[in-house]
Amino acid sequence: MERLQVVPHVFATTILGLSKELWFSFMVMLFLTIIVAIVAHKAKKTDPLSRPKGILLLFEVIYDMVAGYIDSLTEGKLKSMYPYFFTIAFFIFISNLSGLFGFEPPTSYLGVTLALAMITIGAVHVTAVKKNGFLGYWKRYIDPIPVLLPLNIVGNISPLISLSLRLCINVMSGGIILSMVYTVTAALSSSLLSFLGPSLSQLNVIGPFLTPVLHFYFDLFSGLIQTLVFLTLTVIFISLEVED
Amino acid sequence: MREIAIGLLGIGAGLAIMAGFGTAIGQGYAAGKACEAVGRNPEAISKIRSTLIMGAGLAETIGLYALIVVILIVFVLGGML
Repeated sequence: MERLQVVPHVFATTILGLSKELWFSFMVMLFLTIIVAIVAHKAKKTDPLSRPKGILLLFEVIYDMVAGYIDSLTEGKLKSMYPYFFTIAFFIFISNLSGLFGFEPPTSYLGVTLALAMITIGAVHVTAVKKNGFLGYWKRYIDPIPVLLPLNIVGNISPLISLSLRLCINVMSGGIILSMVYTVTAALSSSLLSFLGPSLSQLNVIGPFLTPVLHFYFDLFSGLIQTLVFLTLTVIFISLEVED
Repeated sequence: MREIAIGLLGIGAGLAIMAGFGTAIGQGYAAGKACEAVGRNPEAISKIRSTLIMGAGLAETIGLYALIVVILIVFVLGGML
């Protein structure tokens, strides 16, 4: 009996010497670069006082929404970090959406999300060093009393694990459930269509009626929510360092 | 012997998914509190909705940890049988 091949793809195979998630994230980055280049080219050409049209209007609305959301969290501080916030939000959202187009979302690999979380935690510590100075930064590790040093070290590293695992597991479990549903519907329809012969019975006729709603939930809705959660946690972690 | 191993794997998977219990309680509590907040302050509904969805997304993670543990038990450990 053959088992279902839905084991989580943490142990990625390689294509041309680079791992799979790297290729998928390259594709997402290429897509984002092209879009951003087009929008920047159009924005440079048009008069800023005239009414925006087409793709420019869409991106102005998106910018207003995301910037308004970040403003409500940081109260208008941290303007210098906005490019990073926007990059991370767009990258995570587009990679979550890429499951709709038949890719495996890059964010469903722990390596990609761990890298994103490492950048965020690195930005937190760089902001802390900028705020408190290099010597003042180390005071956080012996905060109330020096005995708590190991606890403080763990407390500074644990957001890394929770941030990366949260995003990765949410996207990955959606993919696993979808592939399970695809497997089950393929088996059902092949047994239904078995009278058509061996080649035609491979058609998955039940799947397309059942999976769009699951795709809508797991790729669109859950992808948006997880983008929002990652963005919010990033903004809050960094703005906590600036405040006090 | 193999049947006993399969049964024990099933019991382990069932116990692991029990973590969903806490997630369900937490999300239900959050939704109930959000309903109360809307009843008290109906004009803040959009802010309450976005906060609720954020909090539910955060709380859901624990249930998904359990799901991943169950999937690893069933497919990885089950594959070793």
